[in-house]
Amino acid sequence: MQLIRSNRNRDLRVDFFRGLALWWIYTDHIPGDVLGDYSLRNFAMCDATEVFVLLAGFGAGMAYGSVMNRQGYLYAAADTLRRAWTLYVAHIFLFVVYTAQVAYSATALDRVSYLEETRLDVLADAPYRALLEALLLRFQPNLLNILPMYVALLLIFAITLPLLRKPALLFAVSLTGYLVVRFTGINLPAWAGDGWFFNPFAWQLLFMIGAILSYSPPQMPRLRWPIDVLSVLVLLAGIIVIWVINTHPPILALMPAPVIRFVITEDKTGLHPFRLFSILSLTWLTIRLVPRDAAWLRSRLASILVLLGQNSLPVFCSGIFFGFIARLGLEFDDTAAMQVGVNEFGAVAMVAVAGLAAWYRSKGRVQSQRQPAALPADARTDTG
Amino acid sequence: MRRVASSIFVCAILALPVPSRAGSELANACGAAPEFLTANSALSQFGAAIAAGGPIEVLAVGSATTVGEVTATGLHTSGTQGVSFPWQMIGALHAALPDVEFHVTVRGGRGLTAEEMLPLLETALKQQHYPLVMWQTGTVEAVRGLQPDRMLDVLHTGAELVRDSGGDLVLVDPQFSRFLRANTDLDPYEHVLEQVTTMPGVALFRRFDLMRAWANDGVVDLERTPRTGRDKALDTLNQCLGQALAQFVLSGADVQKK
Repeated sequence: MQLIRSNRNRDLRVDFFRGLALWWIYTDHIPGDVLGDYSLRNFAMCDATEVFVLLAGFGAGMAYGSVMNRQGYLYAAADTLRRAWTLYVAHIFLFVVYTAQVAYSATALDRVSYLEETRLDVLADAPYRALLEALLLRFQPNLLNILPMYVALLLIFAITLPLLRKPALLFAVSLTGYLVVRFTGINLPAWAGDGWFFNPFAWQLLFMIGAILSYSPPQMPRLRWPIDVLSVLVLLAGIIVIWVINTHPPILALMPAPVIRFVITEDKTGLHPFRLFSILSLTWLTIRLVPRDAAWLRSRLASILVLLGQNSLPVFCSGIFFGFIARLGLEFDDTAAMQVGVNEFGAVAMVAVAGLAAWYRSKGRVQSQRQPAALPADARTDTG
Repeated sequence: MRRVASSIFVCAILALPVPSRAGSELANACGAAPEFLTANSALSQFGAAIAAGGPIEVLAVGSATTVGEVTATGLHTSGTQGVSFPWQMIGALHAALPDVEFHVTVRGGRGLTAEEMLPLLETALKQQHYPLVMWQTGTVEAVRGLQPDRMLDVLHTGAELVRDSGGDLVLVDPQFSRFLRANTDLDPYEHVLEQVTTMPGVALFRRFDLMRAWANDGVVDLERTPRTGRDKALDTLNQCLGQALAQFVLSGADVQKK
């Protein structure tokens, strides 16, 4: 039984880097994990979240764009909304599991800080209200703020789907929305009085860029080296900020005022332009350096990440759960053996979850091949 | 819900005795490197107040670690109200300068942002003259992902208030936490704090880096201390921070220990 989905239309680079982003999300979220010092955020002014959102947009553009082509907007929008609902339910389930896990650990180990750090302490202050606010996505504990953004992005996407056929217009509308956010700070409301940790009105730009890249891939420009140079310069600037300025903050005082302002106002909530340019530069260089049919993408090692990437929802959710267990392990005994142990545990556990999810899906495919298809095949392509 | 109103409290005490557990290593600021103990700006107002012989009023504004408040979750906890680092600093200052009287006023509360602390600072400054103000902030902003430039504006306003009232300001950055390091983007907020210290009479006490050094050196590491030893570790941490802060502000005031 084939666990990895692979066909002519499928771009394995997307699955591979999605899987890599999921692995980074796991290591990045574990306090004190040494592998967290070697993930993307240590080398670029963006991290796994940007990769995840861009590729989520790519997957959505491909899946719902093709449904729209064959069955029209209504079907495609309905599928998008169903996917948003699936993500919402997954988020609520994860919320309950994670809350139980963190709150029980905090009580058993007498670590109030677990509750404060994750912002779950409000559950003790106002439990009834907190449940309602969680259902309304206005209460998002730390680490549980990516899926709500994903839900909101799909809702926005369901509205903008027809514009996929006019990519320039979609990009213009999306960019305008982003700029409005950058200048006004407009955001969805959160319970605490601030906006969402990931402002969907800002992050939609990255999602839409991903969708455009998959639905109507632009022609590669004839003159490519200027973009190569620009991309390298953007990434170099990021490395200077991370490796030089962040480690020696007094250097900042020597810089011109606009540079100071640009660096110190770098925010993740509103997808700061530096972060946006960094992920776009990385995307460009990846397209340039990794051909779509690169043989190594089918290697055994790469297949592990491809498998994770093709089953991103269960892998992401279980990764949050496994990550907290790993944290407890490191707090119990922060030795090299434990570092190796928690990372191996996470890798094996997430691959097992991905394998199980893939097996269930392939089992379903085999059954549906024996029966008349109830769903078009493409409606299932964004189930990752 | 944050209990802002109830979390604001004031406590002024006369110079604390030197903490009983302060052994020789604490007197040495727990082995802190000199770079952490040297103020990056002159604290001339504080220095002048010491030269005048005191008594000296110190204001400390901050969130949970400053006020020593803990979450009320029904768990067993032991708060550090009255013994958190501002009080320890006063004790250490008194030990260093026995002839000068120091009083501390602590304001703030768990989960407060710099923006929410600004009115507390403003009110306190209107009520009394403080030659030295400590302002601990940045953690809550980072955890909630608040706009760094808004925090910059707030801190600038606060720093100007302190300056206009004839005092010096020592900013204290977030405490070392592997969780914060892994799950929040701390750097912009650190840059904001750094940026404010370009104003005269404003210094930045690098608590995050200092506590990381202590964790690496095995002096104290709250996140890796098992339950049974945690109260003691918290005690040690507050005493170490108090010692280090005392040396830090004295270096800015250009006063040698007597």
